[in-house]
Amino acid sequence: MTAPIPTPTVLGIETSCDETAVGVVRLGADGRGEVLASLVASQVAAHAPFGGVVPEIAARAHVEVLDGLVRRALDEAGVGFGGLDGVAATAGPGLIGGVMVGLMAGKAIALARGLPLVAVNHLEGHALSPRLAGPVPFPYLLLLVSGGHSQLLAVEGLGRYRRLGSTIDDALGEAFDKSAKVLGLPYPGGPALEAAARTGRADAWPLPRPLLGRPGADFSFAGLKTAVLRAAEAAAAARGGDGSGAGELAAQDVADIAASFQAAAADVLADRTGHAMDDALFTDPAHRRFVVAGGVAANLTIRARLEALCAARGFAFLAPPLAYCGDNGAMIALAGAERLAAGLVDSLDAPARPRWPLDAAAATTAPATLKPGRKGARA
Amino acid sequence: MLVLSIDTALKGCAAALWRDGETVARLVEPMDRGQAERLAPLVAGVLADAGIAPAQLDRIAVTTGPGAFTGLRVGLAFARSFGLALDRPVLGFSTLEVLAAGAAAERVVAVVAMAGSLFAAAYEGRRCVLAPARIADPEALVARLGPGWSVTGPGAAGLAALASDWTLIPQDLPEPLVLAGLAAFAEPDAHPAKPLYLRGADAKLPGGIIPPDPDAGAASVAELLA
Repeated sequence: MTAPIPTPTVLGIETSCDETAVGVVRLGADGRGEVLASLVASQVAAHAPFGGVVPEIAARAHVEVLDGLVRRALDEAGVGFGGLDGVAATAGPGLIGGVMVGLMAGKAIALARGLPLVAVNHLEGHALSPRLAGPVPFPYLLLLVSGGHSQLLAVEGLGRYRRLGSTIDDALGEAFDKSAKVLGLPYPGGPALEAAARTGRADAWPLPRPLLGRPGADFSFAGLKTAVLRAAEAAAAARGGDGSGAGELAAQDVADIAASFQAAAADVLADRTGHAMDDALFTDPAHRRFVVAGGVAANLTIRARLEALCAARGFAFLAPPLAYCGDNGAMIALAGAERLAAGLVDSLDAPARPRWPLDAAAATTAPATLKPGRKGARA
Repeated sequence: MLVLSIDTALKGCAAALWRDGETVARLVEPMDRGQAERLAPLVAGVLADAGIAPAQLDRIAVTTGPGAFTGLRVGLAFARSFGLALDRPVLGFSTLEVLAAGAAAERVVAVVAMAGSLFAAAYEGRRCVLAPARIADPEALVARLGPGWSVTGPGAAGLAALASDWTLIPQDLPEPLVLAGLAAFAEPDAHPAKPLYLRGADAKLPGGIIPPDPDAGAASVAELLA
């Protein structure tokens, strides 16, 4: 703990995956984070030939562009280093080589300018991201859906997160990307699949809805992903191909399978989120706020479905602006600003953490089927 | 001129302060990993030991590799942002050049053996006769350079064993004070703080195809010394 800084201006650095991102945020007295700058240098083109993120290529790109991006973000914000009250950097979870680049940059700026450092949990950045658009009081129900994460959390306060459900296999964004790949759509697959689905029939293929109707709020997407592969093979065979590749699919097949996949994903999310809404915390009508964050939150079909669920259940629906759904520096700056306002800082020996569950307690009581890996839950 | 130097590219974590040829402060810790945790406290330590504020620094110097990919990025990411925040130039030098300068010999081959690769560079006085490269055929290197060389760096013993009369100068880590001295007299624009991987990212394209990468392959000595 240190002396709280009431309305800090904070630099935020995000390098945990394939976006190099820097933001500058000023925390208002009303709790809203005012974004002074938010720049993202995407590495999509560098990873596209590989069909996914290559960690070493990501780390190499981060170190090349990060300091220039910091300079530009401060210029755009009209804030010099002297105008900052603190520096926040993602310290995990994520691809460790990239996380280290951003965290070392954050430590360097903090030491050079005598500023406090905040080592931010990337997931906390997403959890707080709707507060970039306006004040959102605690508590709220958070659905975090991205390429690396799918979880439902009761956000009870800053640093107080209770896991209500998480995926037992793939993240939803991962299922989007892999399904898109099977359908021959370009990388990154999420936006491409959503675009293809617009001209498709959502009831064309009866895809499974894993865990639908089952108790609890956990997710499973591996079976859905496999069903997309089978559907693509069947569609190709029906067109006289040997099922060997997406090249045999007609555009309408791609659109229909994409729309069917998206409908199945939306059904599952709505069902699981509905179960999380049954948590005792939300019996008080004053607590009924629902937030969806993460890259998949940019999908408009899924947004619409969750908005309808909220309307039916009496929850306010909140989502960060589309620009802050994916990885960005502003959400890291905001998380850092909120921590500084609460007097929370980190020391210069803060480690980069490939695995860092947001809710340390619940991670150990994660679903029995979760394969946590040798070193415990990833996130 | 007051220089802060940083090295995390090999099996150590080092920071030093150098002023006009004098040692102001120096901390060197051998370690295989953990540089990301140690470096910032180490730099804070040398500054505190010397009672120097960051704004008093004139230049930052850092090793660029070859070395461990993650380790060299730890130092480079830190040094570049440190320089940015202070508006001071950041100069990069290869680990091989710093090792060679640290050996203080007239004709010296600097060597880094790391993760199954052998990297080397050779200098006659201040003149670089073999630029830092990944060496495919160390026997050919020894034969081509001929007799009368000193050899230094982690992995030097292996190369010395291939030569009949080379002098081994043991040195496991680049000396941060040597690095600072090099940076003090160099032109910043000629020494950008950019990573020197000398090795590809080891990623394969769909179908197991290895993409063309200028850093990917080890070069034959015949090509390097043509």
